[in-house]
Amino acid sequence: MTTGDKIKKYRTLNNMTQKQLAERLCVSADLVSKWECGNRRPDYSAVQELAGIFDIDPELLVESEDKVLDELGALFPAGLEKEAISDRINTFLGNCSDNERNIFVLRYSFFLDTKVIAEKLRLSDGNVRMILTRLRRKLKKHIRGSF
Amino acid sequence: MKNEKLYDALVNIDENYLKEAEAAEKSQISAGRLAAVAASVLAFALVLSVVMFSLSIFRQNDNKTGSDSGIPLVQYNGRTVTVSDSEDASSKPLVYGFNAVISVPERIDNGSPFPIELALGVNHYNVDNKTAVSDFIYYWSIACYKYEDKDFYPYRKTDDSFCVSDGRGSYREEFDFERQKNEFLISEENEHNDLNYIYAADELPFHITLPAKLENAEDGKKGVIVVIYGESSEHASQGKVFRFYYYSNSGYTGFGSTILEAYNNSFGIAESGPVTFTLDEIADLIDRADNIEIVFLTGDLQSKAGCYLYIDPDEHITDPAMPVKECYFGAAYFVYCSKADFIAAFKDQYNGDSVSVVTIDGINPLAYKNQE
Repeated sequence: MTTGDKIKKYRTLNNMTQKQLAERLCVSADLVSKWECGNRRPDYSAVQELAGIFDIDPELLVESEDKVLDELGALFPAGLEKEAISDRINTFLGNCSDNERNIFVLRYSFFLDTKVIAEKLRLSDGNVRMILTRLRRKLKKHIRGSF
Repeated sequence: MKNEKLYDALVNIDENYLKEAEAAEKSQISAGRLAAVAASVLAFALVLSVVMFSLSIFRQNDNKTGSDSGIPLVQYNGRTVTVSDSEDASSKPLVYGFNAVISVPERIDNGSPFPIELALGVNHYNVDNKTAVSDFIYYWSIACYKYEDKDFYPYRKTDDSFCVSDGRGSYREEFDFERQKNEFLISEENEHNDLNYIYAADELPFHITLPAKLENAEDGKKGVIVVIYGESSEHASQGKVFRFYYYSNSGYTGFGSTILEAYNNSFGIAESGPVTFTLDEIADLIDRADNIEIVFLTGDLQSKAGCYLYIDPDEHITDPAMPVKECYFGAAYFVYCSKADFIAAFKDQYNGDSVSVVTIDGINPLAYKNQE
């Protein structure tokens, strides 16, 4: 279950509309809708606020994403701030082919399963995973080269 | 959250990239619907071709070869076929996710060429810059050559000459590919000039014998090649762990060498035969390496690819030297990864997690489980 699915689930359990939830968070209802659809993700501070509203542990909302991010976690040196990480990822993606970039984003920003990505992009699952493996290698080199 | 900074960093990646991915996802879904229709039509056409070609084989006299019919003998295995333009204008048409199994006619004269393969999802290595960055999938048409009751397959060498191999490491002869290519049914349209292909396990197209590059090793560096054979269910039931071939490549010629050359020039006969390693020992081997080349070969590729792979793990056990060469002639799933990725992949596989860092198709997780 994605973060979006969980937000929807806990919002419904709390008998809230998207608009009501948006008001509590001081964001637009459209943004909440995008979170639930998986088109955008709340940042971690928003996740914590959401968890507070739903009275749940924030980890519950992002545990599956955390696991996916383990694939990338080791690539970045400890102590690197998130802005710096963003910069490096953006530069890296700028050097990728369209297809590679899409696969990377679908995996690590939309957190789609490789099988789902494969289905959506009409590739085999093995191919998607191989591309992701290559991308991680490239990203690692890119990060090393940026210091 | 363990990866909080990374999580937030990825929230803030360029909005254009997010939109682009979103658009790709949607457009592919639409294209998929069209492709499904196209695939149905193509599947029908292919089936029809099989029938027609079978009839033509049936009717042909002894002087006529399979190629004379002009109809590829293809069985479509049910995968969806989509064709799209390449991002690279100079590239050939792409065929995504297409896998075909070619039935070789039972009766064919010695010396007669006939088609054995229709191209497939091929993972492509960029020859120009020696990197494995491309995910293009190329159409490849290839022919088989019958000689003395054995099937020989064109084998393209790095110097661009061709020879044919029976897939078991013996060569029939070198031959002039240019002269014979028409005979071999490889049209200009389908011919691909790239020489280096790596086939993913689930995209294995028959047992085409193409050289592969050991592209990420550098001169003067120590390295390790681990050849991992998938365990048969029998092995798994016996609780045997994976088998590995381990080579130090101190004499490795480095960047640009083909596996075949590396094998012949550097490794010679395997320094160690088939050895059963524990996961810790593998980790130790990897620790000692500067570069890592890992080749996954599994006995289960046959079922994965829907086609025949003659490599038999049991043969490797009984014949420690030769099979390695055979494996390289056969098909392999090449993965370049870190030790952490490698171990993680095994653990993912073991845990049944779909989020594998590295695909290890066909390897029975039971083997690892038993080891634990």
